[in-house]
Amino acid sequence: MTSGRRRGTLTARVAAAAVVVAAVLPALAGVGHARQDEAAALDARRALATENARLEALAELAKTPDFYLVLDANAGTLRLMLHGAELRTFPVLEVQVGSPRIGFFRRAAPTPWQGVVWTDGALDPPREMERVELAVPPPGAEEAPPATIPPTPEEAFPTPLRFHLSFPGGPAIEVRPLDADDAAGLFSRMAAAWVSYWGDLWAALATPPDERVRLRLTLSPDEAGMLYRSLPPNVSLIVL
Amino acid sequence: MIRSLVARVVFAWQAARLWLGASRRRQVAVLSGVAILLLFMAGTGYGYEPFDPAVVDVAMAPAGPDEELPTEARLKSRQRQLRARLTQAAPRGRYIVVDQTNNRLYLREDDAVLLEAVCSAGSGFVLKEKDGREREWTFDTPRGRFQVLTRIKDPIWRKPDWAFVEEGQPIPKNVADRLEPGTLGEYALYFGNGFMIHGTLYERLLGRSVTHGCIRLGRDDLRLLWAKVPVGTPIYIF
Repeated sequence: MTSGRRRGTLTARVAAAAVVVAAVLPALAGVGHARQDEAAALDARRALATENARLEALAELAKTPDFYLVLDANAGTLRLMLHGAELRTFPVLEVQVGSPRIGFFRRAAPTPWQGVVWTDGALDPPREMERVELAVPPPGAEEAPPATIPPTPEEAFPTPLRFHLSFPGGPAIEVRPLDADDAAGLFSRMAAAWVSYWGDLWAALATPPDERVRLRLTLSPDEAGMLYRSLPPNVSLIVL
Repeated sequence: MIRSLVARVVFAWQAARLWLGASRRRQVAVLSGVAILLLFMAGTGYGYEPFDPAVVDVAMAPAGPDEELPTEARLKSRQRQLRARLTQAAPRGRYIVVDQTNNRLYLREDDAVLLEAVCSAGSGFVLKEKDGREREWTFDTPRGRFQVLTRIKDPIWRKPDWAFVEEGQPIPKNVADRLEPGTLGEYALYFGNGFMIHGTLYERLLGRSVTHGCIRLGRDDLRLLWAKVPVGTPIYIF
């Protein structure tokens, strides 16, 4: 009799516990789902805000009278733009980020450069234009002086083994046209590597280092040449 | 040249003598120094890593606490505004792009390039007037945004003063003496300050910077451009 009552009590307790668990579990699951939804919504808002920051920067740049470069590593493009108009797109095969090192140790962490608009980009070596003065024939001369025929753009501004576009206080873009040139011979590659090595050595040792962050872009040799020749002065840059 | 070569050989000879005459200890010390120097040099320069686009996302992400983020609806509305602003800034329809250093002209419409042509832009030459007013001209093509102001069929060139100075001719007082038909080709697209996109008699010079600031095009490309470009078309020159 006593054992039967005990069995009855136990069964009642188990049943009550089952009821409680059945009632609480969905509630707990609901709380979990709500938290997940909240986190997802927060992520979506963050992504929207990030995208808005990008668009804001582009809209600001489109307002300025300066030419600007938009480096989109995801899309693999470097776009030259003015007032929101795309003037030329350079396909970028690879983007690397370089920082100065001394004896295998990285120098001080660079100031943030991503998502910031950098202005006053300057080419190194500069593309200097030769100002030829035209010869004027003396009044009444019967024969005109021979016409001066200028060189082709490739002759006037040969693409250097490497060139930089440096932004004061910000990153620099480095292009080494031979990197993507399958036709380049061993000796020209070695010459380019030698020039780059010494240039990098002195740039890294300089105080402060000449370029705190360097974005090395790999472009096809033709595109690299076009970029070098066509960059307008005081160009701005944003990296997306 | 020979003297420098001799000096180098002598230097190498003396260095070799010093090296051979030095004690084993000193030789080891020198070799260690050289090895350390080489190692230091090998580790000095620029180290490169693949670009991680996530770093840009992190940099552009909102800085404040999450609670301060505007609501999703407000963020979406702001995004629509910004996209509209960008669309408004960008040219609608067709536009002309001139790469004045590479001497290339493009007719673009959104992402598509409708025409790519070899052209000629300003030479950058300087002309100085020796007699008279001693004026100076620099033959550059201007950079920036312009637009087609006038379309002219069979344009007649009204030669400016510099054209006469360049040829060593006296500057005429009569306007009629300045007019020269045929030089500018079949069509001209005027974009202000005396600058035009026009044809040329010297097609063999296309691709070189030879003009006085205007943009010269070959006959066939000019015909194509003329057919596709109305007044008001934006022109971007870089």
